[in-house]
Amino acid sequence: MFAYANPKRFMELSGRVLPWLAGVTAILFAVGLYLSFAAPPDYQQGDTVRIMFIHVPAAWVAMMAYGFLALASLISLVNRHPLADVAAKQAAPLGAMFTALALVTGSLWGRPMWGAYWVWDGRLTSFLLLLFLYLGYIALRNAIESETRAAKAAAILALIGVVNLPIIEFSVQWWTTLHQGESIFRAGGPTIAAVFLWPLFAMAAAYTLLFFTLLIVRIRTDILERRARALTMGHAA
Amino acid sequence: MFSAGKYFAFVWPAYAISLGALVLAVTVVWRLYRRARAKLKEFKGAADERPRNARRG
Repeated sequence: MFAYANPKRFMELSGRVLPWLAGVTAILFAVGLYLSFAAPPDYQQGDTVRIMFIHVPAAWVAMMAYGFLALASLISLVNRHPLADVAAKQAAPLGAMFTALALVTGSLWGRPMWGAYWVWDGRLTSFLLLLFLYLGYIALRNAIESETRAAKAAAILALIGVVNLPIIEFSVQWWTTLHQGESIFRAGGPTIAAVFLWPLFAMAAAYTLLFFTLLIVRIRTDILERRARALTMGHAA
Repeated sequence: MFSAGKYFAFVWPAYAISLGALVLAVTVVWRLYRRARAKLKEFKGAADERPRNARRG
């Protein structure tokens, strides 16, 4: 993996992969959105169940993105790999966006189902904390002038924040909560009907690929900006 | 039992916010990428136009 993790090879490889990735993402979004509105209304929730197809994938990608951020931060700290640091830096705003989307869509789902846009239960509060962790990571990186020191401090924060991921995952088991418990990846199989699972998985795949497509473009942008800066400094010298 | 029509009002805002945010993110990320690419090309062009002696420093 590290063989491809130098900026030159990354630019070559990502340049070839990116158009295909973007194309597959667009197709998955089209299929996912079609299935989302082709699914029948739920017998209890009615059409409101369709919010699940955008809320759950956003929440999954928000957590996956934090896992990615933490892993890239660990590699950056241990191996001092420059591309890992760039990947972590560029993943944070994307993760924050997906977290915010999960919170907003969850709120819009909560109002008709629970009668409240927000409740301070374990799942919602730990997910709000995830948003603050992302925002804290971004703020910390921008607050320290030295790129190396900023990367190190932000990586440590990202690794400390990993403790929040199992809290989010198991919050619905540990505490009494309005948020429903695990209903898809559970022992005994999903409790959701297949007619709702297909649009959910299609949208989850679309959201995941969109995250990686945007991440690759952002990493490429960062590398190009660094090259431009290096050229400018070369001119100045 | 919930009425589908009564609660459909929450579905459209959720989809509009989500898809709007995703389209905005794609647009911003792509524009920043194109700007960085154009800037690098401009700098490279400027570097190539400099006299050979100047390029050697």
